[in-house]
Amino acid sequence: MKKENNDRHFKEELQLLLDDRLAAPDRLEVEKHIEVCSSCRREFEILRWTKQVTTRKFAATEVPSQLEQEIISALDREDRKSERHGNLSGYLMGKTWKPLWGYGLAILIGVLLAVWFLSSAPTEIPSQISRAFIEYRGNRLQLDILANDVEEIERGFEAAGVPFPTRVFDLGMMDYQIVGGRVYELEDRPSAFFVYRSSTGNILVCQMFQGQVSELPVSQRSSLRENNGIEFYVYQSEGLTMVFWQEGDVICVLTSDLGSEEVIQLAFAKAIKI
Amino acid sequence: MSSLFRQSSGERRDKFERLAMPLAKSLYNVAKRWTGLEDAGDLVQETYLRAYRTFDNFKEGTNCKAWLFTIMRSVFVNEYRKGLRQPNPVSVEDLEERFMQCLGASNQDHHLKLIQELGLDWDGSEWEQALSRLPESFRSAVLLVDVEELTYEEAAQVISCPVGTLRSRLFRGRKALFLELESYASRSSAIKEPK
Repeated sequence: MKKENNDRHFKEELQLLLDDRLAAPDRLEVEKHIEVCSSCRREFEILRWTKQVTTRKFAATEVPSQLEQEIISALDREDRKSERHGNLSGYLMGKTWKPLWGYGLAILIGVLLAVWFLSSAPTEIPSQISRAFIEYRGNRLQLDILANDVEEIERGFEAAGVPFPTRVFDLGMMDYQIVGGRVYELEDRPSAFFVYRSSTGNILVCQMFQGQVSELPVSQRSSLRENNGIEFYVYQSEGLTMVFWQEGDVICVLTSDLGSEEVIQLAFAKAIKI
Repeated sequence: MSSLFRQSSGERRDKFERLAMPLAKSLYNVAKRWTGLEDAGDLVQETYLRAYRTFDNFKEGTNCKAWLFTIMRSVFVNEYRKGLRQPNPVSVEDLEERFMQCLGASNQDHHLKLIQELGLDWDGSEWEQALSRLPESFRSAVLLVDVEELTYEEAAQVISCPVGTLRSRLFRGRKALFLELESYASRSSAIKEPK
């Protein structure tokens, strides 16, 4: 944090000072600097003014009165629904219905066994990839490695025991910032799962896992593209575009709900021939 | 059993209303800047309904406002954001360059003072327009931290990003908002060159 002279300016520290997020010694140092540095003082002044008026100008006003009433009514409906459910449970556990539970249970076990048998067939790779994206987008999949630095994420994968070297590429020039990653277990192998977000909130997920693109189902493929001598296998499902390519003995795939051409171009930009 | 159920359900409802209902103003305030006025009410209502269903997950002693915003963000992202027209993306390099130019202008102190004086006199619509031109991620960071007074950590949790990312979005959001206001002032020829 120490600045040796006034030719170098503080940047984000000004915001931390403004938001009272600096420890006392750092705070003193920044305050001392802005006393003598007109550029930093001006920047601080702009940030301070913008924050102050933002707080005032966008402060909450009243909620439309009918909205509060609608919320209360919605909660009432929810309570009634829960209560009906509670009463129904009590009724079903009564004397009349108890003997039927044995039969019901047997049928249920039969159905579960059938479902288990049908679902034990291996799921195709594109379905597994799209499922991972949808889980992440729906906040049902947390990232374990949170970092904005691609090398740090690569080190994280190595520490997590990913059995191949990962290549987490920087998409900053395309307005996609890396936000983190995790190991995601596909049905039969681990994958390095890492996520980018654009400044407008779009999500782009890359996954890398050991395998050969010949494992991908040809019948479901939307198109086959070629760029710089690399073949790209494009799949579309549930509003997602998945672009697969081979790097050594690893399959890479970029997945997003962006327009398909945009995902393909991002894959073109980042794939390397090994 | 039925009366016991009703009793605990009543207590739960009372507690929910006591903790969550006073925050409707804040939720609506942000919702209308995410979806526009027309859908804001629906977004808030859906948020309350989901929060009520999952109220058992709320940890007492933590910030209820941040918890509700996290739910609202999830509903917004999954059900509303796709249909919205986004402002043109802002190049971070351009933003920084414009801001540096603004800082470096020789008459900047005079200029800044004028914007500050004028800005306070503008009615809400100029401010709303300036805010609406910000990329959604910058706008959310500014609203959650500066207006709703969430901590960096809480705001980062709401928009599902690391704290460092939230911090840089906030930094850029504040600068971009200032530049929008400055540009508005220039367009309306409100700023005269100092003699």
